[in-house]
Amino acid sequence: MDELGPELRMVSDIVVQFAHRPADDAAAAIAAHLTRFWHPRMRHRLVAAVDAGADVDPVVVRVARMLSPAVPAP
Amino acid sequence: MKVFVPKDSAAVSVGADEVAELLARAGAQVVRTGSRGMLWLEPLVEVETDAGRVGYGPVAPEDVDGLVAAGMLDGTAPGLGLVEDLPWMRAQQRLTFVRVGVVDPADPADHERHGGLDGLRAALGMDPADVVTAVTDSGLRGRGGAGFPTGVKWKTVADAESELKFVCCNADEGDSGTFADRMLMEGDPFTLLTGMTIAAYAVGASEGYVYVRSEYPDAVAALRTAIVAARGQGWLGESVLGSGFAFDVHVRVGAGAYICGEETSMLESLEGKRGTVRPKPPIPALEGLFGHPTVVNNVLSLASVPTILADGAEAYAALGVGRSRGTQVFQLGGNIARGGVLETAFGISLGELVETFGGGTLSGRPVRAVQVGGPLGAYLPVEQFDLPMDYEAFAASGAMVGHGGIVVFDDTVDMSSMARFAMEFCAEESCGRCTPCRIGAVRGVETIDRIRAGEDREANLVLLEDLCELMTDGSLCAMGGLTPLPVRSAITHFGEDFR
Amino acid sequence: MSLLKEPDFGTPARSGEATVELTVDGVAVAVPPGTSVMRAAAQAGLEVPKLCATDSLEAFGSCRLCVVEIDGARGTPASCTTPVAPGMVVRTQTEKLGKLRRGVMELYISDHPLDCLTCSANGDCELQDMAGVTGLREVRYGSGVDAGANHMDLLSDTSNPYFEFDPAKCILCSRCVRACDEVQGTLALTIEGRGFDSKVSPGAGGTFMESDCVSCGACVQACPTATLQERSVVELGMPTRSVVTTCAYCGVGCSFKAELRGSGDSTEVVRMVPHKDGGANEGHSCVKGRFAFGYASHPDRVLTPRVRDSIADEWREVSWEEAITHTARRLRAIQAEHGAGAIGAITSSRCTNEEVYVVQKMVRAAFGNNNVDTCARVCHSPTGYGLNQTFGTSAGTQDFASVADADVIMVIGANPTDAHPVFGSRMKKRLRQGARLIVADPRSIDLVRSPHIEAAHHLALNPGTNVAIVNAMAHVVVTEGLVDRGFVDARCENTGEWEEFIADPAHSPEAVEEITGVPASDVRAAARLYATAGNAAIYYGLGVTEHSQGSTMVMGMANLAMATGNIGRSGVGVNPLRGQNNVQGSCDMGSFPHELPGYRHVSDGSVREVYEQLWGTPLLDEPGLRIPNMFDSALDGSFRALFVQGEDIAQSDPNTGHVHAALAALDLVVVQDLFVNETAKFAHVLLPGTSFLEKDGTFTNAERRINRVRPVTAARTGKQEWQIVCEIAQAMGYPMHYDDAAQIMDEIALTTPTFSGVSFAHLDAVGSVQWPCTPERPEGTPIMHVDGFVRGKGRFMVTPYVPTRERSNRRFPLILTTGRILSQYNVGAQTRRTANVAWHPEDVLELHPHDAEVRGVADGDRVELASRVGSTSLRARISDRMPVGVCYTTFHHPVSGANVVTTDNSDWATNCPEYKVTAVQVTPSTALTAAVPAQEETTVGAGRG
Repeated sequence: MDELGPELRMVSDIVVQFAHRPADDAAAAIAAHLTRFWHPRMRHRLVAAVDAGADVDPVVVRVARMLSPAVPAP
Repeated sequence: MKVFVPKDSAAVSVGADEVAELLARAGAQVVRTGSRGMLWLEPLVEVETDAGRVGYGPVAPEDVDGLVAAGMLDGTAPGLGLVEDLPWMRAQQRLTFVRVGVVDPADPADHERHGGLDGLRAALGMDPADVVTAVTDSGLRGRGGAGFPTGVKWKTVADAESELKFVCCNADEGDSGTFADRMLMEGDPFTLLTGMTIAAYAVGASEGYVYVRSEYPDAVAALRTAIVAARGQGWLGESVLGSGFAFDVHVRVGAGAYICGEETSMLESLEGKRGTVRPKPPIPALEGLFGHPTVVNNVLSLASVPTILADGAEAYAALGVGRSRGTQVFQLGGNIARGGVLETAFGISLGELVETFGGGTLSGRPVRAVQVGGPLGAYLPVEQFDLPMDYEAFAASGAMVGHGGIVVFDDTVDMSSMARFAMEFCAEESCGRCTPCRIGAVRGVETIDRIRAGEDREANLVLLEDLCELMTDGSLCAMGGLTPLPVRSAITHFGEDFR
Repeated sequence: MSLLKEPDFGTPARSGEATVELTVDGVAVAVPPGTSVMRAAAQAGLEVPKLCATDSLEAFGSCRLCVVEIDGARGTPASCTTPVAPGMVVRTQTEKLGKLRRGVMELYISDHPLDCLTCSANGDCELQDMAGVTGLREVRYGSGVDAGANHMDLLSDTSNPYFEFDPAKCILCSRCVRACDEVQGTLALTIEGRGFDSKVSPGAGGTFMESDCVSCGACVQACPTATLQERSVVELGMPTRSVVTTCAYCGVGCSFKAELRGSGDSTEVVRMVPHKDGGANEGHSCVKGRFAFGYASHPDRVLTPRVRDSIADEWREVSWEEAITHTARRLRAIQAEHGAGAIGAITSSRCTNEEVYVVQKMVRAAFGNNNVDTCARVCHSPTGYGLNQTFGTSAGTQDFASVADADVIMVIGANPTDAHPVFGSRMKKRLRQGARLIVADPRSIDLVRSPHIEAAHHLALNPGTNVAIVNAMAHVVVTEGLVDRGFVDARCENTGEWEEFIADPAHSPEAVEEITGVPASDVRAAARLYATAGNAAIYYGLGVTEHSQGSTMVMGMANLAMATGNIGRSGVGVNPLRGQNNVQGSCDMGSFPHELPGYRHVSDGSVREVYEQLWGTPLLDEPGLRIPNMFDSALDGSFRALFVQGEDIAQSDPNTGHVHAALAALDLVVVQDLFVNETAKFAHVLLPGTSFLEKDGTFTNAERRINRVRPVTAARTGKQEWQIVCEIAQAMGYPMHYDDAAQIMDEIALTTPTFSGVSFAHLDAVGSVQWPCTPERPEGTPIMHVDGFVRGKGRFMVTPYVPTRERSNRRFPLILTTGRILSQYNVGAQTRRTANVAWHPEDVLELHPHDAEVRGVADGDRVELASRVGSTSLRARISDRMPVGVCYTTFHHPVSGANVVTTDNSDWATNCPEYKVTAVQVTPSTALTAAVPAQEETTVGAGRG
């Protein structure tokens, strides 16, 4: 099992798919994707992991910023 | 001194190779040719003299020393005289076979010297459509047996839209008592290739195939040699005789099935499939080899084309009778004194062929029956010897000219056994696709056996007649369709043998 | 209802206008050019006697019964092989014809056993019919041994478990041989010998089982006598009535006539006969649908509900009432303790649309969450995502018939001759007619080279490099000026960004040659062929979707099709070959956690409102958990109860060790299934399910065709599956009731625009429809995106190639890819309980000879197969179909546990697992070891090995 839960592994799989786009664009697209397809609890955990200082791609940090105000409580 | 010794397999079978070798050792310049067709004279040795070719035959190997000592090599030893003057030769009109027995079949120069390219040259100078017209006007009909007008067939192929067309020569000569195709392929293969090339030019085909039965290894070898030579001469290939027209020929060897002489079976076999009959339509002229428009003609039909183009359609059409124009190549066999191949205009009577050319039976007994047109041809009694060789006249008599094979029987023949043989032949050679032929032929044999055994004779004769009607009208191809011909003719003309 | 006999027009229909007018026996009839006289007569209502002709096969002209007389034509031509001509005057009944036909029958019967009364085909024999029709009254040759030569002593071939071959009864019509050639395309049968000795022979004189025969049944179907006969007919006798229904195996969705005896509880299925009017199969079948239905009456079927408190306990049989009440109580209790979101359900692509619909409704309305997912998650979820992003609809673009118009067929990651055999036969027919073929697959699948078929290009790519290949092909199209500019300009968007991306030399075939292992020249040639040779169609399968870049690849193929204008007409398109019978339907029915029926997102208030109104309850606007998320959440304790409808996740889902641990962690597992499957070993409630022979509903196949599934017998369990679900919801306090399955479809039609024209009554009237089906388009939509894309403009998507994180290394130097074979089906729960095991008794590991050699593995040796996550043991098969470095196995048998070694990697967009790429090592083994996960203890009840 991933130490930090599956969400970080899954989001990193997504981030590389958007690597061809500028970071802001990519973050917005990824945030939209997560909003559309991920259970809120998973988004919440992603944000929490980033907030807890997980070692992630800078784009993931931006994604977490975009998600955090919108993520409902699990 | 130049001497000519046939290399034809019929001559070889009676010692022509040994004779040729002995003559060479004796200092003669030996040229191997085809056979003149007088098989009773083979090996027939011909010596070139100023007056023409002097013939000696039959020459057995043990005769050679004596003949040479007697002056054979300069033509002075007593022999047959000039070959061209022999009655058998003089009575013929040799057009298709004009070079057979005369030229060296492996030597293109010899072929050209004897006018072999005249027809092709003439054709290439014409519009393809005019070539088709010439063949149509000549009245040439399919020499394989069906007698379909060759020009009409060519026109169908010529008019068909296709990027790819074929010319296929049917050399699966399987009828008993026929060997003209073989003798032409062995004795003058360039003429066949030339005929195919003219056909290809006329219809717009680019590839040709000769389908030869496996029993003819010498013909296959002769054709292959000729094809290589013809390519070397530019007679085949990218630009035939420099005309820009491209055509090439390939030889394919059959696998020993009689039915592959039927044109659609032959096409199946050429495609690498099992040789079974295809229903028509579609006709091969429109959907033939690999589905493309295809000329399928017999060896003799194609080999007759060069002479038609060389001398003109009118000259050819001037020969013959009725709707049977030009010449036919007849093959005399069976119980006959002088067997062999001869070519003459249509219209000659059956009696003339058997008596005048053939000299009656070999046994010396009276002729009782003659089968014309192969194993599926009708048996004719002596009373019909005045029948002219003519497609329509034969059809009217319930018989067929077929491929020109004539097999003679003397008065010891039991015609019920010959009828049985016809059914047995059909059972043996049936492809098995259609019911009347597959089961009918076997039942035919059994029914004739019952008749011969005297079992319920009248009822079984009625059953046999019903079966013949069914096979004639119901079979998919000529194999089953024609088998009743010898059966019914045997019953009609020789009914006493069934009682 | 009586036995359904379909009319046989004798020869196939010809397309085109009925412009040729003729008269047959004085009746005027007009037919298209090329039609046979026989068919024209049949259309005029006049049946010409026939034996070798049948309208699924081209005319053959061998029996000679169908002779007719035609004015102006010589003789008596066969009407089957004679095409019509304008003004033709045909007579089918004259004295002469009657005599000929009797003569033919007399010959047939002279070589046929006269055992009609005890013959298995008695009453269903065309030879018998023709003897009657022709008025045969005597056989003057005698019959059989009395006649003389005969075939009475030929021995039967009983090698095939499903049908017998009795050559003594054969009439040599060649219908079987031709069916094998023309319909199935296997060319396993031939006529051996000539003349009277001709004999139908499987291959080179062996038995059917020794031959290439795939047991599709086409020969049995075509046989007019008892020569090729179903064993079940031999054993049971002739069926007396038929019910038309739909096969429950693969996504082709073949229509069958279930031919039956008896009624009510005594109903017995005698045989399944492919239905000529079936839109998907048009009278053809495969070994599974045609013969492998015996599992429905297998003694292993669970027929009574079972309950237990712990999976360590023995099962306890209970009443339906107790099972349902117990289930509802436990579900509510868990929700009360852990929250409404702590439970969920998985729907099954094996079940009907109606059964799936009620499960997702139960989750959304009664559970009050969106935790519903479907087994399509693990097969075709990337199809839904990818085609929706590009075309705007989550479905294939064509009908199956479209392949007949294709000039180039590109098969990517699919093996239709094994996995979609009936469609595979259609495809092969078109390929034999001359369509060109491109195969992109690491393995040399049968299509690459089979009789009369050879791929123009086999792109034997390294597993996991699909996107690199499709990008390289698109690169060639764009940089060599092969784009269909008119189509792209008029109908697509985002073109500029995509073309700029794809034209980058990094995507050239030369640049990716190292990655894909495919010579650049082959890729270029394939791209040119696809782009320029007329109609080009893409067919793909799980070899596309089950990758970490599955969704990217689907979009990549859509890009390629759009760029070359290959969308929106017959013969083109992007076509997923769906694995299971109702993958399309289960997705359509709102089984995904983020979508309501008809692929409408849960966040769309207007759509939610429709359902909230109808269902009388508020709905959540946030996506629920996907299957892998459910497993992860089970392990972290946030997810506690799972309702599993007809899916064996414990065997079919990847990384078995992880799945088993998750299942074992749940407080409640409810399994609805026919058998005690692997998942049931983790279950607390087992609700017996119904087989397709008992179901009433609809399946939607890979071409969006909605087919009726009609009950052949009553539910052997006493309840339809949709009833069980409704009753659980009711017991949970949510009112949910339907009188019958038709009412469920009515609700689907009422709420889902693309289904608005669908009802059972309409389907019964028209046979089947392809959605979208609306009142305005009652006949449905065979081909999509004809005038415009569903989303308006087709959207080019940028598709970077991102390699999978799964790499081979020194420890795991081989790549394992998985798939399935013809005779078995998925986890084998059904096919393993039929005689199909005769073809595939165990899963084997296929290895290239080189890879076997260096490991000292011989053909038939047992080997250990190990990956990072687990290991298992299988028998090895040395196979030059495999490329070096790649091995292959199937997952039909639980004992082999192929998924023990597959990993957690999944498609980035949909989490569809990466079944197709696992780094493994293969070592010789002597012990028959069981499958062992490398991590996470499998708890009690696993009972494997």
